[in-house]
Amino acid sequence: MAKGNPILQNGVKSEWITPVTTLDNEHGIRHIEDYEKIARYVPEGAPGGYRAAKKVLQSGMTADDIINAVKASGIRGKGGAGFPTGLKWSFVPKDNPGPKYLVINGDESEPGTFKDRFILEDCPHRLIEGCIIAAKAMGAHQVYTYIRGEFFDSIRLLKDAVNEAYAKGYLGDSPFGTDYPVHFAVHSGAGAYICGEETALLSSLEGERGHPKLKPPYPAVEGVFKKPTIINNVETIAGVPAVFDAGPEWFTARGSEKSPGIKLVSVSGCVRNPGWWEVEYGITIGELLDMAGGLRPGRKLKALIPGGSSCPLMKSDCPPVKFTYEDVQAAGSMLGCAAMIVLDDSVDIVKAMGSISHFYAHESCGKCTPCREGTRWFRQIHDRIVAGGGRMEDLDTLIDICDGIETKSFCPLGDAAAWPVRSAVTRFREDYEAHIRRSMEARAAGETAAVTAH
Amino acid sequence: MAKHEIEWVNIEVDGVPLRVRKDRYLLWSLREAYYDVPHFCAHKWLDPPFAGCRMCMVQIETGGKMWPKLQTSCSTLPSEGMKVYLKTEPVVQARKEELEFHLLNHPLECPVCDKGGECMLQDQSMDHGVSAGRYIEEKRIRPDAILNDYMRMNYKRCFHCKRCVHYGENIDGANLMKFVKRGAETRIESYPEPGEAPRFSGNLIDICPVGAITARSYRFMGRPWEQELRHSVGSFDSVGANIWLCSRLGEMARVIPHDNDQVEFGLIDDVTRFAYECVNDPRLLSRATLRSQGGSEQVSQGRGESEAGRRLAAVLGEHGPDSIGVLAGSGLNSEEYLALAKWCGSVLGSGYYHFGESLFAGAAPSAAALSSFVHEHPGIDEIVNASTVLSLGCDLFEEAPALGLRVDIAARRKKLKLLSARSHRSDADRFATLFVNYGYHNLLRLVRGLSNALSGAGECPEEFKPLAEQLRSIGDDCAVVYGQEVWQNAAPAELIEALSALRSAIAAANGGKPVWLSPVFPGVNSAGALLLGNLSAFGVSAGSELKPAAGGLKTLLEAAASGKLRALVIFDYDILSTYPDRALVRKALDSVGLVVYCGPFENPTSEAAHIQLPLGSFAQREGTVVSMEWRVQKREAAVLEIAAADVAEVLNGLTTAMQGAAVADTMQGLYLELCERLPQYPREAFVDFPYEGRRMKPQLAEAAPAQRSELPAEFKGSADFPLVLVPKRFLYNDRAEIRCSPVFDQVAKPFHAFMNPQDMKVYNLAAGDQVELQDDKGSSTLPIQSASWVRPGSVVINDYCIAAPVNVLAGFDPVRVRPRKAQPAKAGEAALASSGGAE
Repeated sequence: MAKGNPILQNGVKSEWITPVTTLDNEHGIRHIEDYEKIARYVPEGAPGGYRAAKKVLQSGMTADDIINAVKASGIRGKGGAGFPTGLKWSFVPKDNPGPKYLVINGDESEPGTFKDRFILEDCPHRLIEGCIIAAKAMGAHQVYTYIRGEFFDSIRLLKDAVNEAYAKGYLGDSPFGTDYPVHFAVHSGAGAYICGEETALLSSLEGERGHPKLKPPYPAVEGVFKKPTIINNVETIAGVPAVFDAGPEWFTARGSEKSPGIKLVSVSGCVRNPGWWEVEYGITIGELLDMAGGLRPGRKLKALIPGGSSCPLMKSDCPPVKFTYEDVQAAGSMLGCAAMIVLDDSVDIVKAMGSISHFYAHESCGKCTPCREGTRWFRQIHDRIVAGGGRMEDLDTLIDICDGIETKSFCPLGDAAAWPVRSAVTRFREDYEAHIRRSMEARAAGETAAVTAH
Repeated sequence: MAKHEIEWVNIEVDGVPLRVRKDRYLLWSLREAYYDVPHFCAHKWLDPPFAGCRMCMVQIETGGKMWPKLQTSCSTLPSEGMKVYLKTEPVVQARKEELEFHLLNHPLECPVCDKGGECMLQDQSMDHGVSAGRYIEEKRIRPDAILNDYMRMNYKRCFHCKRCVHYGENIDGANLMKFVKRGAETRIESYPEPGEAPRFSGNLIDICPVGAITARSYRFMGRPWEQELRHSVGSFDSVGANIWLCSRLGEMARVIPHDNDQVEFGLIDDVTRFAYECVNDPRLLSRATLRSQGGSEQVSQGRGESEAGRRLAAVLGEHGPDSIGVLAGSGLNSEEYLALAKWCGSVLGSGYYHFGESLFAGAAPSAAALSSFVHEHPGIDEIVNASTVLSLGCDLFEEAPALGLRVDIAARRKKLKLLSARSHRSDADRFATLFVNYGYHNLLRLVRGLSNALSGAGECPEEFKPLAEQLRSIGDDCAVVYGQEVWQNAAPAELIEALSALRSAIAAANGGKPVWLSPVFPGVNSAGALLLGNLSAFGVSAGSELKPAAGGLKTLLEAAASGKLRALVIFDYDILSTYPDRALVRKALDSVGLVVYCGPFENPTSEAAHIQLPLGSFAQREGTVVSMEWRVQKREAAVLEIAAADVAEVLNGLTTAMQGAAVADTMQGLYLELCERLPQYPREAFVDFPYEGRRMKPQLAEAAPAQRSELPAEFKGSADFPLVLVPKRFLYNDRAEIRCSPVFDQVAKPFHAFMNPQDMKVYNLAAGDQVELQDDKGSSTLPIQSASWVRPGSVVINDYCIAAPVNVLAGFDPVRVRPRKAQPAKAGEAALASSGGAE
């Protein structure tokens, strides 16, 4: 653990996943030139030094053994949906004769989240090690990583790490001297939020337009290039080596029953010390806020988005809520990818929602009608309310648009666009109403003034 | 057919039991059962489903459990015991919501929109929508754009169902429309291929559910409900695609497909769709022309007929029977052929008549060939559902576009194995499992080689063996389709016998599985012409009225050239431009004292006639035609202001002038007479003929094909004439209907010599150069284009180009040519120039 690194000092540090960095900057602030100074390669044998991958490949563990271990650890997908990872791997048809592929989703585009990026930059070897194990578990020999297009440095650093791994003989035709070839390709996206959706990611990886595909067939049966494919988040896979290093019990001993283990949380917004932390599930939202330095003095919590911009807003009474999938859901929101956005009382909720709806209108792929037209309509209504043209009936319209999108769009992007709007309009209706009333009064005053002047 | 067993499952729709196909998405089964399920992006052509419009959502319950989300029925497969709800509150609500989204940016201009009255969005919003809009924001607008020569895009009306893009990607493969940008800003832009004539683009007009894509020629031409619709058949190929001829205020307004799932499946080509414009064109003849040494004179049709009749009577009086020859193209109706045959027998007393193109190198059809046509042919349904299709010497996209596209779609979806052999590559092979290029005039070598390889006796050239190997595993059945390169062969009869033998060999190699042989005829009624031109071969007693034909077309032309015939009467047949032996035709036309040409448009043959009489166009004459699958369908006459004569009326006029009186034949009477004489001809009510037609099987004794195994020598270029000339039939050629339709004026038609880039380098030619092709008979000069699909050592030219006619060079025998760079055309001279050395 680096001295004086504020990123780690408050978090529940675990040597298994958190990057082992030798960032000798006294204040722990990242400068671009520091990237090159980080010694990412870990000596073989140390945690994070391909110990787990070597063990898995050389000990002759079968695919079922690996999958069972991962199942026992209870790891859930860290990309947002929280699907059990071991279960996902077991969906790959075993008797399929053709090639199978492992695809790593590094298209981290949800506003508020920045966890995968640090894994890619600080401990890429953790990811590569996880990929070797996962590839063995599902019978794949080729790994594709799909990295968000704007992550220029992450892509470069990951490529360096891959070259290192090839040079050390961890990747290639015979990793660790075994006869199980694993190859690794790094692919860059072109900056589209929709490509974080797994089927759209596959379309994009194939060179097609980034449109989600119809399921079934599910990717595990017919994925990229029409071959069985497993798609996992960067963080999920980076956590896999720890299952074999520390054992599944290490995970089940932490967190709650349904959310075992640890999670990287990105905290941003109106906090004094935004950043990311590795925490055990079950920590409260209030504790997370404290880690991030709390609010500015004199400010009160207004709203909080626990899992990235697509999750419903929580009201100011949320700090006691435990940070687990089930507790956050019971409190009316979602854990998502654990990207906490904090809004204090200086924030205008209507403007904040306007900005979020701008994002979704810009990122909707345009394939299905409700999402394409609904997100645009959200944006237009918010723009109008902010510009002073709001009407009370707009709030009902917003809810109706949510009804039209939710569960009816082709892929979850539509839902993701509708949830925050619905929660904002229902939980912060008074903010909207106050906004609209103010502008109605201003309009009326303007008309009176115009009449008087006449 | 027993090969694809249909699996059925039982479901319940709103509590009513329904049996549906297991492999079919719910939407289509529900619609077939007359349930109203709104949808926009789904279309029967498009597979896999897109599921983007979200209109077709239904509620589904299985195993007593309601599914948590509504499901799009276009992408949901049924399962046993599934319960489907169409009228529950969530479903009705969802339709309202989605419809509101669809209407957000759609302008309220139904009263001025071409699609108004037949628009899916209009219909659905009447049925399922709310009447008041609450969208007060700015709508999405963009200026209109020109898509290609035929179509215009109105972006305001587009509601992004994306059918057009998927049509380009999954159906015709032309990718005319593509997405740009994303989300609500998504634009659908067109990317026409420069220099290439579109082939199936017009179907986008039908597939667009709103008025975003409209035909430029039909734009603002009227409302669908003011039009008079008449059923007809695509008249430029032998597929028999069903179409509606729509007219308004006595003028042709448009042509739309009539969706016959057994024939063209709603997919028609652009020529069939847009060539109706020639009917409104002033170039459609309405007056007769008398030509003499002194010049030409325009007279009324009646005057022309009486003049022609008088002169024909004079010839007949002077030279007696068998002195007048009659020719008719393949565009006439069967009834008209019958009228002609009767006229030849009873009025002219002549056996010199020929109907249709020259399918047998000018000879009369052989018994074996006729037997093959009748006994071994499949229906179009059987071809597109076959496990294997072998296309031999036939570019389906150019010769039978609707069939070609259906085969192409099935091959793209891997539902059939397409094997293709031709003397050059083409788009139609793009999904072929195997393509064999045998070089022009070597088809017989290929066919015999394949038979030999399959039967294990006799030799087979090495390059054909992979194809023979493929033919050993045809799956359940196989259809062999052949076309143009057979008809243009020096010995088609022999070739067809070899094909019959190949058919038996394939069947034998596959344990007697069904194998069919399907000729692709060149004209809409080539089969009818064959039937009516050879009635005695089909067992119809000649009687006093009908005289058997005296040999084939070549016999007739030779008789005319030698002076035996004194007059020729030609019905709608540009024989001078299309018959391979131009010198013979020219000599025949020059030798007879009187040529009467009767046709709807002028062409080089009509210009050589002494008397030219007008005839109704394909849209104006009523009668039945026989398609390549022996499907008898009726072409009705469009409701038009201009009067037009059919062949019976012309003959009536001629006979009256010749004999003073005539028995007036009507089409209905002729049809009944045809059914009497030929009992296999399907007998239906003529006025109300079933639009889907009836397939027939003419009565004919089966003839066993001669088994011959010797291979002809390979035909190649020689030292003097290094290139083999390949006259190819293109969809866009110089037929009168294309020439006289203004819509085709700007289309890039393939009137070039196409040469392999390799050869062009050898002869130092650049694209666009004028090249002179010489053989020992003459030469033709035309611009050259480089084309990698041409086999090195050959040159492909359009077989029907008036400015540079191929038959200056070509004959029935194989032709080799020598290319030479011609002097650049002088300013003011036509781009295409030709000098017929033989003329």
